[in-house]
Amino acid sequence: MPTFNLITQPWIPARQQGALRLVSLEQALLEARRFERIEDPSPLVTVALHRLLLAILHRALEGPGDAYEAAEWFKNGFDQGKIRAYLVRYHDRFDLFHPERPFYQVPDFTLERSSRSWTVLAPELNSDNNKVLFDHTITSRPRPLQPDEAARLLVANQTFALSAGKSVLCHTATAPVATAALALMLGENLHQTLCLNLVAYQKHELERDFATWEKEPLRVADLADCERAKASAKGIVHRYTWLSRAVRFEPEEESGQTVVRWIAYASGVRYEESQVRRDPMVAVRPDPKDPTKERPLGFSEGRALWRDFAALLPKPGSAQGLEVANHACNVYDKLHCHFEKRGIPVMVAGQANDQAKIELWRGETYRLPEAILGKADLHVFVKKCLDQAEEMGKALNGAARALATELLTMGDRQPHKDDVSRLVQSFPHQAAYWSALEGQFADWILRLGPDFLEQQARLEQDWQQTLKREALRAWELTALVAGNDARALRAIYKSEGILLSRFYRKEAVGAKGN
Amino acid sequence: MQKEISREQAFVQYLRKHSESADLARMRRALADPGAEVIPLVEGFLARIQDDYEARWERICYYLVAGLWASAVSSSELERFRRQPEEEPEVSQGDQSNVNKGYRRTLGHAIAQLYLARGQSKSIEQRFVALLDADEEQLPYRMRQMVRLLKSEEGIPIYWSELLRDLLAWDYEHRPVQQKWARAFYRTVAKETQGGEE
Repeated sequence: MPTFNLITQPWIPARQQGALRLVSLEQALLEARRFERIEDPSPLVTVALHRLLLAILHRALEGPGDAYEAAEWFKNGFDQGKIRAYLVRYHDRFDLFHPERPFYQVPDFTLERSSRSWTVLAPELNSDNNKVLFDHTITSRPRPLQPDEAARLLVANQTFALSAGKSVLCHTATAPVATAALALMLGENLHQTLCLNLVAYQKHELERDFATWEKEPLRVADLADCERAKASAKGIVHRYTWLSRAVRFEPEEESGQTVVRWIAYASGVRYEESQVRRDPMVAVRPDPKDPTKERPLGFSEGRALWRDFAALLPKPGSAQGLEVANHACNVYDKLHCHFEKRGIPVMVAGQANDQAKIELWRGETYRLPEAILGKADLHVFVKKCLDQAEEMGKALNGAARALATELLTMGDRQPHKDDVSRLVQSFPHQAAYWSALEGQFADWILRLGPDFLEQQARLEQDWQQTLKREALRAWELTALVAGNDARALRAIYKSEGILLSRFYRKEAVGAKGN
Repeated sequence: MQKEISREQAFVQYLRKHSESADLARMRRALADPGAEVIPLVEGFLARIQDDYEARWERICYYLVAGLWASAVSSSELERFRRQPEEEPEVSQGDQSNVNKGYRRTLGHAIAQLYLARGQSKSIEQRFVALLDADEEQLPYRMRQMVRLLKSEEGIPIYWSELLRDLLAWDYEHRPVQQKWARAFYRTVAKETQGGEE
């Protein structure tokens, strides 16, 4: 029988003294201090692997009860005995090809029911219902997949699977966090990173919660019953190890090695939203359509994530903030640790989708400013400044729209609004404004240091000047596109007032305030 | 110590100081084809600034502004001008980068005032837009029309030296003068009609 046990076999890509190597689960957990970080070319795999490690640690260490305990672990390391005992206890459940309990799979699912090329697991590759430009993977003759890669793709797919309609079992629903941007606080090595993200896991949750591999594996009969094949999360580990898809690898023997070409693949457990604790790695932002509601922060095409940066910051006195960020601050606070002008780096990874189609995936690293360790409510301040950027963007857009309308107006005839929209789309104002601000924001946010309260007014003023400067620059570029014949000049200077009046209004308000 | 003034200001001052009624009439007449006729008064000034070369456009502009100026002042006003030759406000020079400054001195601002005074008359705006698009050949004719309209409305000042400077730069790349005028026009209109931000 083929076997590939994730506890002992190397499969997790880890960076060690600059070199990338594959390590086993055991090594990653027990020798975490030796590795700088986990690093896969796909940010989705990277963040999914962290979630897997966090899930094992929560269950094996039965905690941490609070940030004090996490800080303790941060300083003194994990209780290795507990981790070893847990891994021994569930040793068989981590075998990728186990005949009865294959890891994260459905044991009695067979190729007769559903035979797919393994590429269905990898969103960046061409699979049979998902065409990707420039990728020439042939689904009828997939290249053999090594077990370590298969394991990585499996973990990432269970975390990020997107709804794709009917399958041979039931409706394939979206994984719990598939459309969210997952935040991971980064330490100086893997051990620190794990401690910073091991949020409080208290006894009552520990008892109710479970990891998918701790239970007897679900069978086809369980999942084919569409009424029964749904559940809500019992706790964060249950959520971290959600069985979004029924998968079964079909191992093959090729020149003495075990490889995978074909897999059985269909719907898994449908996730039902419930009132239990929110995912600690998911930030929320106000719903743009209904400000009383909140939506998970996610990636989308045409809107860079930093525009919602405030959502990543801890919200003092509120349970609604990003939990891992709150937790990391608390841990550093207990450690009396200072960042020495570097802030806490945070990796945010996720994908943007249009229904079943993935538009993009992304892993971005930001730095949370040093000032988050202070008592000041940074969240409110940064949000206000970002809102100002949005408002300026709107004024710019309004001016661009007026410009397009003017340019297209012939005599008294009003242009069609679709024509106006098309012309506005072709203007460079949005790209110019937001892309210039992105770099400026990254520099600006790092200036939010320990002396934040004294600097606040100055920081706000500088930010407003940046907004004004970039908006004007973006407008000038747009005006260039419009041309310089008299009609264009008329259109440019007629519409420019919309943008300028925003500057004047701001200044007038400021003058009154002084 | 005398303040340094620009060549364009010197020209307008020169016209004020030296014009006689007969010169006014001659300059007005020459408007039909500026630069074609030889008017001793204007030539007197041009001789001071033009060396060996003859810049055709420069010559046309000086003649054009002289003619426009002559058509906007009456002989009876001449005496008054002569007595107060510094009547025209100072031009803020040197700050070329900031086109927003001093936009009140541009013809665009003057035309906007006319436009507003005439109840936002569409035809004024159309004339203004046509003026912006005028090439060197059309410009004298359209300027004449515009100055006649401006003159008919009381109390709209024209800053002649500024106008001369702008006309000299009419053909520059990226059309900075036309940009400046259009901006001055629409900004003035916007300020007046939206309750004014100032």
